[in-house]
Amino acid sequence: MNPELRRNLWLELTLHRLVAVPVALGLILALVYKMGEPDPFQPMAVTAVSLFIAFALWGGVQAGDAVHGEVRARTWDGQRMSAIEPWSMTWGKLAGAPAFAWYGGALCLAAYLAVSPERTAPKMALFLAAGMVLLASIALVGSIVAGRKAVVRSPSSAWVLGIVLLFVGPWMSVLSASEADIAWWGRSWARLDFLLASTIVFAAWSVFGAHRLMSQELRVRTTPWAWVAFLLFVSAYIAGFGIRYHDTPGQKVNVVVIAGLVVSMATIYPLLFSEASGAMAVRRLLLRVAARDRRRLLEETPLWPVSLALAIVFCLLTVTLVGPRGSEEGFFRGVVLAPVPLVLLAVRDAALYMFFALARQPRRAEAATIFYLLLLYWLVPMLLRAAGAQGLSDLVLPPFWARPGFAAAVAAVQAGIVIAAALWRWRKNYGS
Amino acid sequence: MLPAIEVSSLLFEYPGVRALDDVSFSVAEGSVTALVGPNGAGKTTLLRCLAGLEEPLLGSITVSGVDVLEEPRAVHRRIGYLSDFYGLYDALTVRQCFAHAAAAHGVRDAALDAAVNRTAERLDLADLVARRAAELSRGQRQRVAIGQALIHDPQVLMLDEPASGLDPEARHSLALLFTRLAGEGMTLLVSSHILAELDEYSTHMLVMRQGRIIESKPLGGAASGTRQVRIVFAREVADLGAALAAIAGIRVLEAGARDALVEIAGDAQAQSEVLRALVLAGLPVTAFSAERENLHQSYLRTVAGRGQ
Repeated sequence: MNPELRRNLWLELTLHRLVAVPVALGLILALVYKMGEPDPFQPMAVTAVSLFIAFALWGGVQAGDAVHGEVRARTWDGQRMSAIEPWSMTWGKLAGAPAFAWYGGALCLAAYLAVSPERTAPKMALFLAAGMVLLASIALVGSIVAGRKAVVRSPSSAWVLGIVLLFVGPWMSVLSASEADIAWWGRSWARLDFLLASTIVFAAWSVFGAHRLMSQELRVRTTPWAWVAFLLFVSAYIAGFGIRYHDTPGQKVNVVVIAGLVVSMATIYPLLFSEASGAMAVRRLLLRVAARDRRRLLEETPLWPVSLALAIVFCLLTVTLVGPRGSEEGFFRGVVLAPVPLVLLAVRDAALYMFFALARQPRRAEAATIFYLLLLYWLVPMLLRAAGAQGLSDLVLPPFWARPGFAAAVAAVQAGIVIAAALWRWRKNYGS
Repeated sequence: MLPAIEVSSLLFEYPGVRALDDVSFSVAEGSVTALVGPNGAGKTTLLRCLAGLEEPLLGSITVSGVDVLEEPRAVHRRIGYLSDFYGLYDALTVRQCFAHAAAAHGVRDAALDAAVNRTAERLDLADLVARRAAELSRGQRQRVAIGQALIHDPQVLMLDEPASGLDPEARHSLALLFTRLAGEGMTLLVSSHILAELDEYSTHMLVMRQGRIIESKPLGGAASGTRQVRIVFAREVADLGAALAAIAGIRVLEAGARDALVEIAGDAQAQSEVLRALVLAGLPVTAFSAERENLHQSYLRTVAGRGQ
């Protein structure tokens, strides 16, 4: 038996819990049955699903503490040194840490299937189960990242779950907002089928992501190909919503390229603030470059430069592919140059983070970066505009939609200045 | 015979601090090596690198013939490691803690019970296996943590401050356990501040200071072909140090008015010849006895010798 699963089962599934959950569930459903007469099955089904959601959220909390809790309890080093393979550790934690929630959730789904009068109940049950896997695996990813970063010293579960809901919630609510079919890649899909397939695919990606991170924790080396594949997949997935049936291949490429740009840009910042990218990481990479060790260089490169590189590629594609078609299509004319200053500002922001991370005693580089980004993107431009100094405001926050050429020049200068400052700090503190 | 641990040109840095600076040494198979040095010397970082938990910037580490940097997972199966700041699964019983540690290190389900019982016996925990870890005293928890590190019979066992929190009796049993494990062929690398405790079982000493190894040597002199001898005289001898230094084969370590500690190179025959030379030189020898330099003395002498 998987040792990690067994350990969690010892902790989570006590005899008392095994007996108490079905008894409590039975009593609640009996109460709803009596209260719902003469047609009790619909409210019973709703109750079962509501209870399932409660168990799923609790499972997310448990999975969110699966690794970070061990880091806090100082047992994680022992786990990292064990002979448990990364995949066994991943599924042992996914199935084991929320074992109680899985047990309660499974009972709720069984009750739902037994009482629901809906024809689509099996698909709905599968969707809910896949949703719980998705939630637990994203929480596990968050837990590993939080444990690695050691930024959260209090119990991390609620924090991780909050992040998960922040990202998953809007997506789920948009897709389940109405009952109409969904148009995706120019074809019409039954809403529940689409939701089910999307949830299963993203749950698979999420489990895969947890496995990759777990591999790194257990000292199995990985290269960033999986991250690139994930970004391309998400780009194609999101592009599907913007592609219409009668679109030409060129128009489809336009949408994919812009989706790719948005996705890669959106991932730069969370990665920048969650990965180890300080002086030691830079020194390690420089040593790999000096030794011409390409394999190690790829293995040890953080993911945010990969996202940034992909954003630059998509930016160039936007200018070279989408641009020439822009004369024919109004929408693309507006967006064709705006990505250039946006990507340059992302380069500036990454350099700003590195400037703080390269301090001799780096403390709270993330918080310092966020503080200055708030100043640069919000407070200072707003203040200058309020004071009537629009020109100065444009030099701080360049107008990338209205004047993309000017904005690109300003962003390039800003990026250059911050990169120079980061290089200066590197030479000063770590140059020898 | 290959050394159990071989480290070459290890470099490790934290931001602004070089924790390990060109560290090279080897540890003989079946030895018990005391890793000593002041706080912040780099002992814990070194142990974590050896255990494959941290990756150095440069250098190479081989444990039991396996390259730690290339195959850390393979090394994990061969070693046991007790961290300075270890944790236990408080909600599990001692039996469950041991069973999980064994299974996590690849012990088959059929062999789990035997491994748990053997380890509980080794650590004098047989009466406590049904107790939850949270209910144990500090010393008992320490023994559980040590048990978890060695339950899979590793070839190399590395322990960071294993005796902290143990009472004198438990420390003595731990010393006996380590001696027994070394006798069974296990290689031990033990870091501790309590030099007297290490003295009970260490065969070698590795001294660290400011991220560097400043001494790596066998203890007691026997293995290095020298022996320390305490000589007592019947009356005060004027300028005893100079008088002894004039005798061939002697290196004076300490010299008082009526006694001295000297190092004699060679075997028992060489000692006999030195004794004869002392008597022929007219020195009033009343006692001539081999003395094992303890770890504390050796450490202080090493540090003094380096001008620290």
